[in-house]
Amino acid sequence: MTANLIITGAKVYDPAHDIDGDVRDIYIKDGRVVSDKPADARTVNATGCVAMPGGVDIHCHIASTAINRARAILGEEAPTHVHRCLTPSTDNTGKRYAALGYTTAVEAAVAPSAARHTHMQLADTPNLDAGFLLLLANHQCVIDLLSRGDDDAAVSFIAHQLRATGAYGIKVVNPGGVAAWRHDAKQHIIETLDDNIANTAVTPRRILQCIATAAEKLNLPHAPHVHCNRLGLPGNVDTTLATIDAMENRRVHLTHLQFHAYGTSGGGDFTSAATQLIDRINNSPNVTADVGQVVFGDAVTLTADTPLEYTLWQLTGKRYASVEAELETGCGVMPIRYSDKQYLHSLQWSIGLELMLACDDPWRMLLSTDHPNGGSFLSYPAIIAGLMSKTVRDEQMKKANPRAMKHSPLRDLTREMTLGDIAVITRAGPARVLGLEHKGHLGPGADGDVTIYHDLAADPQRMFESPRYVIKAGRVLVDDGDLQDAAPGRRFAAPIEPNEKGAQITHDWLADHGSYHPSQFEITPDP
Amino acid sequence: MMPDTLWQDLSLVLASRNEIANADVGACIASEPCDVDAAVAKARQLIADATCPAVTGLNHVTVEAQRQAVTLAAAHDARVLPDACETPLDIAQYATLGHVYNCDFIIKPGPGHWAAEHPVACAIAERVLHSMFIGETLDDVLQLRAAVRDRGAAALTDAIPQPVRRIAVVLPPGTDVAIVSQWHKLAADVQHELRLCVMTLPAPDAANARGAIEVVTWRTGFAAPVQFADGDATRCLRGMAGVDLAIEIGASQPTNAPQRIVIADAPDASAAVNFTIPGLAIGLAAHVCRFDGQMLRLCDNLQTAPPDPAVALLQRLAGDA
Repeated sequence: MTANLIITGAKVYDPAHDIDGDVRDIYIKDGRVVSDKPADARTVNATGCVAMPGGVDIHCHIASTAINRARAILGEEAPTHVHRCLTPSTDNTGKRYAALGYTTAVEAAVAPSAARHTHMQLADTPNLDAGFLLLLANHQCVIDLLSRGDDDAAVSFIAHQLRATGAYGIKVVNPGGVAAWRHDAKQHIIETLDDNIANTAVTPRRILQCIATAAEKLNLPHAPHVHCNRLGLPGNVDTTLATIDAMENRRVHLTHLQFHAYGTSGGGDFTSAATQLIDRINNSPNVTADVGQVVFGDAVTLTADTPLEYTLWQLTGKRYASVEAELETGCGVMPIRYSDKQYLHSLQWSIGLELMLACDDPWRMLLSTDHPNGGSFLSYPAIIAGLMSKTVRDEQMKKANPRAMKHSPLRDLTREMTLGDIAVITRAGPARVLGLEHKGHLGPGADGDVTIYHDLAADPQRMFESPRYVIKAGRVLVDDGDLQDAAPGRRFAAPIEPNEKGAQITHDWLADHGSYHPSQFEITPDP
Repeated sequence: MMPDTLWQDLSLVLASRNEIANADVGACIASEPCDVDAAVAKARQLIADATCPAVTGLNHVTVEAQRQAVTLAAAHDARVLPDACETPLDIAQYATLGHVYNCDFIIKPGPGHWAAEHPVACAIAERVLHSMFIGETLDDVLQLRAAVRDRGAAALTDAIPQPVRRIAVVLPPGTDVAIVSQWHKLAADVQHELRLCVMTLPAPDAANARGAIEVVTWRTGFAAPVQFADGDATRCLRGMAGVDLAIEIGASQPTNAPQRIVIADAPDASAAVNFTIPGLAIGLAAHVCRFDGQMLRLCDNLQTAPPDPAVALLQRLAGDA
């Protein structure tokens, strides 16, 4: 099938180039957007339709050992439709993202020793260009090196881990907290960023700063991707603000921010601290975020924050699985259901929307559900509908817990996002924040990934649920809901130079503490 | 010559040090040797004529071949009935081998001799010097859980002569799932006081069973037998009932299907069509999955080693090549 395409007559939303609904043609040659009309091209008549770059999911869990465990659990116990939405197979993951108009995604959390597993799963996920983020903030080797005061060695080690595994960026989860949990079950609670980890001089602050340094020195395309300490705890907004401070004006991406945006009432109850957080982020150009929107209904908590997962299990008593992965990290899995009758769940739902609606700069406050933690990625159209219509939000609020809604700032937020705003938070913004130069826009040189929607601005949920065409690298993948083609996605990795010091540290670490020979660690491309 | 370090890692997965002699495929039709093309044509005919085909086995082939086997099943609306399936536990506190190697103490339910003979248990014993054996029955672990409920982690640690923070319970292969489940629940009971994980060792002949579970799970969404219809997988509760053609790929045991296509590292004279492949041969540009989920290369260099010929064969049977 040719990778040359001419798309005619669409109303184009390409925020990266300030195109906001202009009717214009799009030309794709050899899978890339070009300025001039290509010869020997299929023509797609998109008159009356809306065209945007292919969707980019900045944070999801689709191809790891953890999501595979979740598949097994939900495959056994959940109704078929819940299982299919939350923990689809790799094949269905690729198909469903394609059907939704998404062509790029980032697997958000991979342990170094499990990277090969992720590569294989991504290879079996069609239609999606993908990269992954490497869990390093609780790697015992990093903790040990920082404990010895050898920050340079820690940076070298981090560099080698990224290169050897083919990762795209650094994932930070509860920095130091998971290492503390691994060390001592009784002393793992992180109260402040200056708590000592596991009887060392290492603190969450030092870990964050080391990783920020690594990201700078390595010129990583994407900022450190941070799941802050104290996720889900009342009053944790203080920790989130402290994390921003700890980065000392260096780039940071705060992930699933909704889970880190809680204040507390005098009685220890949860309140929304979204306003306080937004004010800070509005004035911190170095900070970007994705919201981790909660969707009422079934979800699966899946996280490397193993102490958090254990706490959730203690609170709910539900089905639960936890894995300690070498001395690198861990993962916990537990199905959950967000109820609109529950105060906390309704508050969480409200906070996510508050964050997106009240943030001045949609380029820095991006849509995610932290799939499947907040809900399935298939919920994006419904969320978009709420963002684009106060009426829709008001109807949703009527069904939510009244106590949570009574003082919710969401009530007074009148903003209704435009299609241009949606194009920012679902493709242009994620691509820019990830540093993916060829994604999220339709300028010359961009990958020929285009999603064409029926122009149903009056019913955005239906519009975004069923694209008219989904085009990837100039090939029509989806035509009116029918999958026409399936092709392997491409992998993107951070360009890291080899460094002998990091390789030697890795070798020595694995020889002393690992469970396989260091030569097994490097992932070479498949032949 | 295979580096010893490679075998050291793979010896925890593979029962024998089978280095590849050649990466060829042999073929027989009704026990008569023939060329591979003819056997492929015959096999494809059998598959096309089958009303209820099933892909079975998968323990004794590479991860790459396992992935292709699922593609084959999807292409022909076949069941996937692997030798290895897994029912997820309600509560589980697992760890990978590297975590266990770095524990302070190992608890080994059961009489002592099993650990002295099991390669993984021996590897653990080399790294973790302190351990003890305790009672192996369901009553033993239930009593311990009751004691933990009364006294907390001290019910466990009082019997251990030195201070410990991280303990691994290492269970022998074949431990009853009820006992396994109780150990995991006990681990969850004490997790706030004591880091305790549970590891069940694989059977010595499990080979790439873990790989089969992982691959079938990610390709179909289920860690269980599945059936394909129109390329989509659902759980299969019927087992071999009604199966008229079994495509046995690296199977531990033959099936009793009326017609069989066997793809294995040893000939099978009773199969309608039989392909002999290297199987889990060390030296192939392919992977196996250790019992804890760690993917290991079968070779030193993926770029120069020969590819697993089972993959290309399965692609041809699926109609992809």
